Amino acid sequence: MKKRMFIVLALVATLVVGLSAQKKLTVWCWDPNFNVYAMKQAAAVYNKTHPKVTIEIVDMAQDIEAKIISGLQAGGAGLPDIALFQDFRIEQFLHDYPKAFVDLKAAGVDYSKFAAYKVGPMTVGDHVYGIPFDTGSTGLWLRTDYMKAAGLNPDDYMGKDLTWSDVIKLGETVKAKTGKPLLAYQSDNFDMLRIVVQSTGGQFFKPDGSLDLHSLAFEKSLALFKELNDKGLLYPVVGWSDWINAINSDKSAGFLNAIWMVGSVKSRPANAGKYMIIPTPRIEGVPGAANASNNGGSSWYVFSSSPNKARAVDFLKSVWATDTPDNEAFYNEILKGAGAMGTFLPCQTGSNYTAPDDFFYKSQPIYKDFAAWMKDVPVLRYTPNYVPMRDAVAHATLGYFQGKYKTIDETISAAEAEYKQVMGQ
Amino acid sequence: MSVTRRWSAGRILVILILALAAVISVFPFYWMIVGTTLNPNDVLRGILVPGRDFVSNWLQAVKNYNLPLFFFNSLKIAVLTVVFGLVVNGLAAFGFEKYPSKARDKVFGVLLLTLIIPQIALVIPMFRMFAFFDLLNTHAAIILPSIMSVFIIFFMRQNFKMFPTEIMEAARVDGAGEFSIFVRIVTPSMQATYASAAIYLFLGQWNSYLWPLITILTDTKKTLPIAMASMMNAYTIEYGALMVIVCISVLPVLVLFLSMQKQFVAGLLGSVK
Repeated sequence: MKKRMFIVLALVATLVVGLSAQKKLTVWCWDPNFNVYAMKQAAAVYNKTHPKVTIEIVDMAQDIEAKIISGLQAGGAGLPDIALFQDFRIEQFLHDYPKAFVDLKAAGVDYSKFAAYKVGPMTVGDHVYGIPFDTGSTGLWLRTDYMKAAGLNPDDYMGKDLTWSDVIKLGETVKAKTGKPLLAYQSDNFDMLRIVVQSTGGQFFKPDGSLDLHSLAFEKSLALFKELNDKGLLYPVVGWSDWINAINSDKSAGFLNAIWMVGSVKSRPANAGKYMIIPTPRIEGVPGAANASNNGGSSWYVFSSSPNKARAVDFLKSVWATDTPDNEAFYNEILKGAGAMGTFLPCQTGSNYTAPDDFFYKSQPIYKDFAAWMKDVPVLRYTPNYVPMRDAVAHATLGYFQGKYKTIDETISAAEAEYKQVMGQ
Repeated sequence: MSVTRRWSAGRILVILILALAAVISVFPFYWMIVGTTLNPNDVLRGILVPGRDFVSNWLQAVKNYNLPLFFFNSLKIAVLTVVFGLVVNGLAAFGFEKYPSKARDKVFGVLLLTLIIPQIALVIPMFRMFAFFDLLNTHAAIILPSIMSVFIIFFMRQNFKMFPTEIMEAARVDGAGEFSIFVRIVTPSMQATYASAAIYLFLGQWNSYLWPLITILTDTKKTLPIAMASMMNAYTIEYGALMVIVCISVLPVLVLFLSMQKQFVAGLLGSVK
């Protein structure tokens, strides 16, 4: 009798343990002040209606990809239920591990409610795999104190959709009067060129996946950079830290980058009242070019190997992709708490989205502007081979600036040669 | 001895070169310490005068990271690696050196060959192995693969060469077993070798990054290098807070090295007196 009781108890215990294990979700991401913070807020929202689900958010180093590859190679061992991927990385994972992620379109997520450019990289045929998270909506950041010193009225530029020719004129005036180059430029980095190419709606690869650097968009972008460089409008530095330092020690009269620079700019109190942000300038003569672009940003993915797939999908869908007052408050909260702007369009009307920001010139409501620009960002397909292409183009561009390559054609050939060598073609 | 000879041009040059070398080696430490007191922008600007932001940097560092726990984790892993490493590698080196056999040099050759395999090539097979043993996300997963070190075996074997085999034979005649010869006679006279090996093992494990990064899956198991790496990939990097963590992580290494400096140098020179 006792024995039988024991067996029954053991069975009940196993069942209870099994069920409670079902109620725990693990999420991997990085950056405690940004992604981890945002996910914790989302977990709190979900816990309001699902108090028994525990959501554990683990702060990983950005080398998260190395871990995930190890886990995928080991058939899902050690992997979490949900992980954050950078948008430029995910296409490689979707290509290399086609069955590793849960198709969320099939699970009923309505992607028309997200910024279109975020959905592109996570789409393979009819399948869409991620929940878009933060935007890297870009703008041209300008120092109004230098513009005034050069005899210009910043108000004439506020909110204007400029072309790059307008910007070059502006830059030349500022440089002539104040000696400050217009843009801080990280010369070993591809991001600024990418921002310009993406704003044209151009692609780096053809639909069949082969490299395409001879597009009008790319050639014009490269020519623009050379012109900016030759006219002394770039303040070149090597390395990310030096780039931030150039901006925060008044080396340039501005820079071209994304919304998430707000934190670094605000970290220096002396910047108060000086910056305004205008739409990303447009390249003339390229059909489809917009006054909007993007740099950076990540999205959430659910692993097929997760034993709690259904729960994980339900969590992401009901908090991140559903339009309710609670979720709107959540998106509003993470914008204030972390400067994290989501890309779920129905939830961009909160008070923090429209609030004037006293840190900027004439209290510009910067988040309202970034959110408006975000809707126009052209879709860029990164493709699985984005990283080798990025490195090859960055090296060739540096060579072009240093005079190693004389013409645009030569520069493009050098980039193509390096890409082919790396890809073993 | 005359004053002029003491201050000859050559001597002044030597002192200048040494002083320069000292400045170059000490400067990063100085900068690191000053960095803990500056705001992130001043760290980047290369300001070398202490500022007033130590408290805010410290609060920023402990807000997101459980530093005492990470410190304890790092220390525990490093100390256990040293303890097991000294026992295993010491015995192996002793065996290789003092017990000749036909296979000995071949086995040792194979061991040395494994040194040319880069760690990154072993990551995925090792990950699968530890997943199979259900050891992912444990400190054992970090300690176990680091215990046996071919380099330490090689290094200790070189030093055991200098230990006179005659002493062992004398002990055998007196009736001592092989193991007690090793423990009672060989080990005590090889302290300097053990000290150097301990420092090598400690440093290697204290700084190890890639393998812990891949096998640790939760916040409570993290080590200091992992915490530092995760600080570097934020949209806004808190350089001041980072410097605080760097300082903390350098401390045990400094203490260990300064306290064992004599033995370390003696170990490098060969330890039998």
